[in-house]
Amino acid sequence: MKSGITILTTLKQRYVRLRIIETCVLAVAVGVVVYSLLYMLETSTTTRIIAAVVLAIAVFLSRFFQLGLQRISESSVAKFLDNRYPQLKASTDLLLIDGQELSPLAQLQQLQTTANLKSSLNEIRFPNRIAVFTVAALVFMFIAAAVVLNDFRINTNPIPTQTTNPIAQNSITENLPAELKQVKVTVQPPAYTKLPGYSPTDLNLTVQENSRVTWTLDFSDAVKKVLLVSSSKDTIRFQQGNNNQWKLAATLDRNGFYQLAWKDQSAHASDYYKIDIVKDQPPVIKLTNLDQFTQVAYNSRLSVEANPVLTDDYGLTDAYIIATVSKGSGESVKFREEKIRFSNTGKIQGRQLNAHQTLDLKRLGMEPGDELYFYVEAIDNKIPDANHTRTETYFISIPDTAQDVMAADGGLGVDLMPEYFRSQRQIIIDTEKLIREKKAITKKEFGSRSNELGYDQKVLRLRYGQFLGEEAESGVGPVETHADDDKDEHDESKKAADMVKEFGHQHDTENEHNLVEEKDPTKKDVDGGKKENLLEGFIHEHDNEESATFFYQSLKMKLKAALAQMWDAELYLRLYEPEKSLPYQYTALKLLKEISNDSRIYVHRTGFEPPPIKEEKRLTADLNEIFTSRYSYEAIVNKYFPNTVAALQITENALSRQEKVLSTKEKNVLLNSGTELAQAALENPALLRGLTALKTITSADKVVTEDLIALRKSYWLALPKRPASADRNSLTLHALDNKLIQNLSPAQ
Amino acid sequence: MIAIQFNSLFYPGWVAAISFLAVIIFSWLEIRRKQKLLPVRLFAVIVAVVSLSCLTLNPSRTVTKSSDTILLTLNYDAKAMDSLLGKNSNSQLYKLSNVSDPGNAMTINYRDLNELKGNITLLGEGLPDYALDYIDTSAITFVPSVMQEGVTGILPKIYTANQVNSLEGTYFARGPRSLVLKTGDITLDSISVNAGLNSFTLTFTPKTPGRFLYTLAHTDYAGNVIAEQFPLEVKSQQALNILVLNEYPTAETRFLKNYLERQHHKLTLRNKITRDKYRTEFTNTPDVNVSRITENVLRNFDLVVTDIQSLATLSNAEKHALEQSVNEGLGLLTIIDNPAPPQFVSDFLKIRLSRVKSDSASLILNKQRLKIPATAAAISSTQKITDIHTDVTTRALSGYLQRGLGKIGFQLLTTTFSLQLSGREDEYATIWSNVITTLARKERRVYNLEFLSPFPYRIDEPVAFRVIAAGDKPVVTFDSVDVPMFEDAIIGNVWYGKIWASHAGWNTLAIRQDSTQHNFFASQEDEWKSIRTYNQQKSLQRIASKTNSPATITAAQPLPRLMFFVLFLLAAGFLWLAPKL
Repeated sequence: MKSGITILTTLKQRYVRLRIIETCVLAVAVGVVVYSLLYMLETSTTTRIIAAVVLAIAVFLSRFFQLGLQRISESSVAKFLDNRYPQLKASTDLLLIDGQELSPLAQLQQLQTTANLKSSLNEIRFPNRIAVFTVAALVFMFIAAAVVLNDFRINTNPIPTQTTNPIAQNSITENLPAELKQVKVTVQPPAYTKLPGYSPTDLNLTVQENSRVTWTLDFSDAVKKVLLVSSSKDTIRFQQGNNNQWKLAATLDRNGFYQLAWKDQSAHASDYYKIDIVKDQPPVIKLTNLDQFTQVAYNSRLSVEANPVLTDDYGLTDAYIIATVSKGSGESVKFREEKIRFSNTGKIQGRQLNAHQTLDLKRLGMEPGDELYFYVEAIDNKIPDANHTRTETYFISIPDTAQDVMAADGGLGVDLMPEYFRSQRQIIIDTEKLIREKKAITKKEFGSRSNELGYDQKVLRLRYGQFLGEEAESGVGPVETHADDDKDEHDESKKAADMVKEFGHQHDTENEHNLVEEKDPTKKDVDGGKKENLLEGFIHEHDNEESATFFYQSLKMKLKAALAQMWDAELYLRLYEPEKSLPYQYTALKLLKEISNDSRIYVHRTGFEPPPIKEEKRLTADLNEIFTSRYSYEAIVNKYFPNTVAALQITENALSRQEKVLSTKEKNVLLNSGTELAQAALENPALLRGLTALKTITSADKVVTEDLIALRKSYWLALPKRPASADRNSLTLHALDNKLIQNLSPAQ
Repeated sequence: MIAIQFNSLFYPGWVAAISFLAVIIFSWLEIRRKQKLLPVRLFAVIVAVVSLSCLTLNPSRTVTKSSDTILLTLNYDAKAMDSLLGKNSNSQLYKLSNVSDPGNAMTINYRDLNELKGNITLLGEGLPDYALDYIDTSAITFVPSVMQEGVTGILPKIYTANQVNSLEGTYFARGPRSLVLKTGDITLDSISVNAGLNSFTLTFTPKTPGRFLYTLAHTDYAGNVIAEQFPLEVKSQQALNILVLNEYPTAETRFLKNYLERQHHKLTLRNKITRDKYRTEFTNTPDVNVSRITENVLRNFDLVVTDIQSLATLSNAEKHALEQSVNEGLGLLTIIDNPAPPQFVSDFLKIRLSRVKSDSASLILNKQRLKIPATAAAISSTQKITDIHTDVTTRALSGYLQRGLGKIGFQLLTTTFSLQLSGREDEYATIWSNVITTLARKERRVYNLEFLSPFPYRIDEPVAFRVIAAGDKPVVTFDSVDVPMFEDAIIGNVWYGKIWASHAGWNTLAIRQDSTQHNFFASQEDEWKSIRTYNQQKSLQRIASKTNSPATITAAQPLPRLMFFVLFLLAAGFLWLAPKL
């Protein structure tokens, strides 16, 4: 039989257990609540767990001590039972006392109480909150599970809402700034091109010249004004339609780029878009099967076919041939111009035309010796001013029937000298060449060439012999040296001189344009083969006809002497001994020169008469009136893109910093560079990205790195490449360097 | 026998005396108290006082340790470390703070490196230059880590705008790689390198002066593109003062004048009208009288361009003045248009001309071959001639002799203006800019600042620089704070200084006396690691020695002070507790 105190102990333990379970449940519930709360506040997992555990433990401990579970003893259980269960007759505390110490009545009561207690064991219920706490815990656990699984978080960042851009058919699908719902562009090419109007899908326009472009902008709200900012013209305002629709029509005739801008509360602007103009090309004329210079013989068919193929991009309006006939030659030439239409078409129209026309030279009235020049001209249908094209000029000539025969007359003596006439100088050159090449060529060749040269010499001799009226037999014989022949010979020399002047075309002369009067040819030596004879000037030789030192006063004598030299020259040439003939040739040349100088008549040059030279002033080396002059100027040099250079440095600085922020001063420099960048963008459309970046950077507060990079790239591309320039180096001279240089100098 | 030494905070005699006194006093006090356990209390008093005094006396015992130390730096070779540890397991293992494992190694700072004694074996990438100051370098062995692929050095240079500049450096590659120099995404130049240590040269032409960040990109073995920012400073060009002396105007001079005008140089062109009468043209410069060439006149010019005939007509005094000015730094360029000039001209220039057959020259400029007329002469001299332009047969077409501080130059190209006429303006500019820049008088600067630490520079790491002064001590400011400098012990007027970069990006050093600025760029931590590694390894390999110090060293190990504190606590606690028992 269990004693009362055992039962009480059991009961106490039961109560404590209950309470502990209850406290545990409470702690768990609190922990779960804390965890889910922290989860919603987005703290890290470790924080959450630690906090939950700590709080749970804290709650446990506080409730433990609150309930005073450490102090629960059997007496408190007994007190509780007495209070709660009247059937125990408030004597449970008797069970606590040992039986030996009690009076018999008490012992009896003790036994009775024990029995009562045993019987009512099952009904004993301790106060607890298990049920409540369990339910609460379950509810919290359910909520926590819901929170964790559904990822409910209290967000401090706003969730970005998507803006929808309703895009209709045939309208622009690029990124449009906010509030602009739709942009529609229609292009109407000029009427004469007969192209239909169309709506491009791209705001970068490639349109025909002078076509009419209409922009229609649909806005979501009302805006105050809408503008088109373009690089070629000024800003153009849109016209407001109904329902927040704005319209603008403009004619484009220049390359460039444009931007759409509108203003409601603040100013907005779109991206930069390109305008490319497709110009109306002039017509193209192709004339095949016809050379530029054609000669039509007189007895053949006098007609020329011209079959040009004409093409134009939009249409031709007119085409014809302009022909010019020239008659006569020299001063009396006459021209007549005619416009000839093509034969196979009436009205000229359309894009391509294969024209045909036969030019009948006889009908044009051409005769032998006349020439026809013609070209084809075409006009296209461009409005307002059409494009003209003309081909090159084609020449058709009918050569004359009269023939020019190259006369190699050997005795007519009337006409000009034939063309292949070799002058003495040429013969000398050829002879020298032959001598030089003697080793290289065969003997036969040498001989034949020498013979030919001899023949040329003969021809020359005969030529000059004509002036003497002879068939040049003399010249080998004696040459007269009489001085008293002077007078008649003077007349004869004049006659000869006249003849020479009239018919002579002297190549073998020096001083052709010499104005200074010729000196008296009194001292002339004729050296007929001797090289150097120092005594020549002092010896009088009369015996030898060839080396006679008397002077040849008369021209005729000189000519005769020349002929004699030529005879000898020819002799040795024919004998295949050109070396021996050379001296004679030199002499002949010299004589001929003298002859032509003799017979020269000098005429005053008309026109320019220079002022006579003042001997007293000229050539006195008087420098008083010559002054030093100085000229000083500043070279005007265009500074290449100064703002862009400064802006490039600013972009670089900004990119190298950690925080990419630009001050107002820097932003101003960037703005100033905008005009230069726009100018460069006209030629290089790749720079438009830089312009957009510039706009974004200068208008926004925060600077995006990609924009800075794009801007820097545009600046780099815009700057032109310049040729290398000279520069100054620098030098620091330490005391030791000075000593070194001083010590080096004596060695030099 | 463990030897104990004391490392006392205060003079040990005083400490001993005070503790003795304290023992006496407290014992007497204890005896006076009528409490139990008197012997134990007395003992506790003694223990308390002794432990307190030991705390101040700081005893330490000498222990012998193995003197082998292993210091691990980044990217160390684990196998080498294991083998070293296997050879001597008593080696002490240390590692730098940026090395993650092994766990059993003690982390050590740069400043504590001087505590490492004995044979130090360094493994890995090595230590930066300033850390080498701390370590005892008498017995260091260095086991370098595997060399990383990448740029291993870039030559420091001054870059000028509008000229072809070249970026020179060395690159270590494991296989064929390519290097690209870019600005933004515009490629300027690229080059391919083979495996091994290559030197590369990339050429580019900066368009404007300023400070820029180019990108040097290279592909690694896996095909990844590694791009690193390369900072460079491009200086602008300065205008020169040039005097041209001619007998008569020539097309060559006219074109040269136009070319130089466009670049803002100051030109004075003197043509002769007759003896002693000249016509002078001044461009971008005020009028001065140059009829007579004197030293005063020449002092204002940086370069004198003349030809043989003009030199021949100079008087002796003028020639002397010219020579003196060249000695002081003026540049003289003579255009030699006559292959057989008068003897006194050759003597004045101290050159000898010998005839050459061809009257034109082929040269290679900007990677293109050009054929232009040149005087049919070859120049030689007893002095050394430095070439500026040579033709393909290495005949000098332009060159100079050094005379004092200046240069006497000659040029055999007499009709370069035909290049301009045929549209080859770049080649014309290259020819003349090289010649003029080399020969012109150099600007005298009082201070010359040079950075001694190699590129790259980092934040909070020291950057050493040197200033060569031709005058007073330079006052160098960094962030408007004067930098302390010390003079070289042997050479006077050479000053050294050290600064720490305060922020990433461009930092500026300024010399107050001549208001010049010198910039350097502090790169990010992870940029240009290959250069740093290479330099560190190179300097360590230089100082690594093979001498060994003794195998064991003794060190003093302090006894743990916590023990004394705990003893004191226990004793005091017992004394407090005693009356309660």
